Amino acid sequence: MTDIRRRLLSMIDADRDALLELLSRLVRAPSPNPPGDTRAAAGVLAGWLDARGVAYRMVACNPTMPNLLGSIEGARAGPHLVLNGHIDTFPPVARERWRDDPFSGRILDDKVWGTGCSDMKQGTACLVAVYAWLHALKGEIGGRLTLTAVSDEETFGPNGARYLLEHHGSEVLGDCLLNAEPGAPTTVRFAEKAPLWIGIDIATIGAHGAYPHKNPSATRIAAALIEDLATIEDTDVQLPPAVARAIADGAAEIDRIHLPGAAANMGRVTLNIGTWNGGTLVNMLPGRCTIEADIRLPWGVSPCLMVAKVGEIVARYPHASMRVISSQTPEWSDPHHIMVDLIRRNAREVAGVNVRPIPSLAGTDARLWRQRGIPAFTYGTTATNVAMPDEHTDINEWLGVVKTHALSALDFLSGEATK
Amino acid sequence: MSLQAEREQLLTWIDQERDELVNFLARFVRSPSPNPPGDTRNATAALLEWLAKVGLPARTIAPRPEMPNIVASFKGTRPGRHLVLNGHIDVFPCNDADRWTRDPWGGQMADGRIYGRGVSDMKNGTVALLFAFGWLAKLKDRLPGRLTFTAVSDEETGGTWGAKYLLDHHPEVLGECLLSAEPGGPTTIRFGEKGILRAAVIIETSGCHGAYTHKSASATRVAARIATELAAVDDLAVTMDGAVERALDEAAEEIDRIHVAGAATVIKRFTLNIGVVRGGVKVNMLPGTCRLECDVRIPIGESVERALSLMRTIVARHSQARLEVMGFTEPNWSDPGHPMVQHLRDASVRVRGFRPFAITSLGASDARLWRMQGVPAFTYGTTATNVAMPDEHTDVEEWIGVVKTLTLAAHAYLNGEGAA
Repeated sequence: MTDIRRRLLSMIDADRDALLELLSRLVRAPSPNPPGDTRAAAGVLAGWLDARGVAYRMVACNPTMPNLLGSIEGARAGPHLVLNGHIDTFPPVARERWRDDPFSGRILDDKVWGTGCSDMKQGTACLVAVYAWLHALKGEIGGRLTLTAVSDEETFGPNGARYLLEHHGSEVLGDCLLNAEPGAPTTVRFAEKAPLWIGIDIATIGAHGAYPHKNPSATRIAAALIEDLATIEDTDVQLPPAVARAIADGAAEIDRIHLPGAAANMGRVTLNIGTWNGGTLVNMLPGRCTIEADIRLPWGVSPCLMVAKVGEIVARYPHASMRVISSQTPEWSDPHHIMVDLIRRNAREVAGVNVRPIPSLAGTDARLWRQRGIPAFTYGTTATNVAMPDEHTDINEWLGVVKTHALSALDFLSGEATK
Repeated sequence: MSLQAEREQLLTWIDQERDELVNFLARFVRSPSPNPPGDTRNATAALLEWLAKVGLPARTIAPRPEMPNIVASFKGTRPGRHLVLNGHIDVFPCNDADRWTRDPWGGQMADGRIYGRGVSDMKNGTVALLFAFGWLAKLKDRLPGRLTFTAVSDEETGGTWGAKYLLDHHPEVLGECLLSAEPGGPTTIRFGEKGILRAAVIIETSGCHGAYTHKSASATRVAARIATELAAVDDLAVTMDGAVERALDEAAEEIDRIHVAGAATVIKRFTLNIGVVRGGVKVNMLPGTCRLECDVRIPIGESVERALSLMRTIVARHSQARLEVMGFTEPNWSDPGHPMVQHLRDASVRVRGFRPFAITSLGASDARLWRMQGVPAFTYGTTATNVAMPDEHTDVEEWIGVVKTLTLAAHAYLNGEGAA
């Protein structure tokens, strides 16, 4: 191990307690989206950088959703690496089923607990810390390192990474994107399924609930439609060979980290009826009902095709109409990219972990870089209870991920790959 | 003055005060009282002002300050029957104002109609009873018995703070016969109503991120399955009392005419309405909770238990789901041969020239609360035009006929006509 790599690791070890406190404080600064007010949480991250004299800017399109942006020039020419994490989190779910306050940030049983701890405050805290450590070493590294800690990821909103790419493209695009969304430290993600969000509105005239013969019921139409919609999960899929191979090679690990069924779902269309709301009062025959469907498309299935397919089903119901809320094309980066090799090598070295390149089920902001032709990779801790009660992060696992990120970023900027 | 002359006098007053009656109804509609939330204070004030204006004392009984109830009563000159008039002040909420062609709270008059949320259910009925009470009070020096007027809040959500509260705490509103003016149609007198079972199906799964559909059962998709299976409630076989069934069969054509084709079938069957569905938080989260609120109507002669046991069986097939009973009322009915039915028929023949059918009602009303305490209760009102729908309205001509019929029937009942 080179001297600079050794020094980087000892900086991380020295900062261990401070790092834990950073994550805990970040969780204690709630940033659920919606509504997406991330000012307090962004302030926690800014505090870490301020304390270490690291320059950054707050770039905010929406004042309640600031993005933290900073760049370091190395001492010599080299590749441009961009780090990306998000500050916002899912809203807390089922408060009554948590064993503690959902925003406690408690450090207990070698874990940090709270809403968004895993997705992805651990990852964003990690990248902010990596940025500060490499800032301390900037006289010795090459290339350029950019930090983006963004708001507005959870709803794929316009104020976060998308805003930065559209308005600060030359600074945040780079040559490679490294993201720390949760997944599992045994996998590096080179691709992700694409979400297609569709709203379906059912409108009938409604009536008094005792007169069900007068008009069709919007809720009962919705129930039938939901059952019909399930057929899209049987769509025939032709995966690109590189992706199919990665899924096949990683199947056992995919099922281990994401529970059995995950590898099969990776190559399939899946349907989630995320929200279903209808009616006003129990004794009124509902005249309105709305369904929001989150369909995940594997590589090779185009959103246009799926929209048409859903449209055919919706058209069977004269009272229903559909609208596309959000549509994306599934993308993938080269699973043999140098960043994949660096992560695999460093994870083995610092944590003794064998890492496989696999695609991801969930969507991340990394897709925005892939869409612009930039190879983008995600490496993070196990996604423990994301969007569920008792979301948490295992501290030892996390420290391994932090070190892997730090070394891989350093190696990439040092042109380690080409050696 | 003979009874015949009294009847003539009442009809004359009604014709003379027609404009005041119509204007008062429009004004009452312009005092919104949607329930929920159920704040009826403005609408109640309109009724109280009117009573004060005609010099009739009234009590306000408000266990919930925002949901006042009114009770007014007078005694005749000699002992006799005690008739109670009952109407409600609250109305359905209006969440579809964009679909109306009129202002839902404007009380607009056009083409011989008055438009507005609640005008049909049942502001027109409450106003009819209020005025009937006023006119009969003018004859109180000649009348036997006792007449009580009650106007209640909190009917639309079950009556806890309205009629139920009055009956529990002020037994003087029980009387010997209850006359309500809930809408239905002037060609029908309602002597009974279907039962109601309100139950929530609650589905709870662990939930997770929406991309991991293999990790947790989806509360919304389980709910869709259960909602589909619950349709079996509609097909439950029904056993009905012979006399009730004959009455309904005789009136079948009329039931279909006033309640839209299909009503005569529905009146004799179980029906399921899934009134409210609430599931999920966000499109890309796999929902861990979903709630279906069901409103099942039970035909006369059947029981809540029949529907409940079928629903329990269906829900029990799904380990993530449970059933919670929110409330129920067994089907209830009074004797279709009661004198009040005859009084309403006679009055209708006299006023409008037709003989109404005695039928049961699809919807529920506070009349059930009197029946449950053993007091015969009857409902007679205008056509239920667009109740809980856009452009709810009342036809003024038809309504005046109802006002006259109710007034004359109450007069006849108090005078003991038709008594053995």
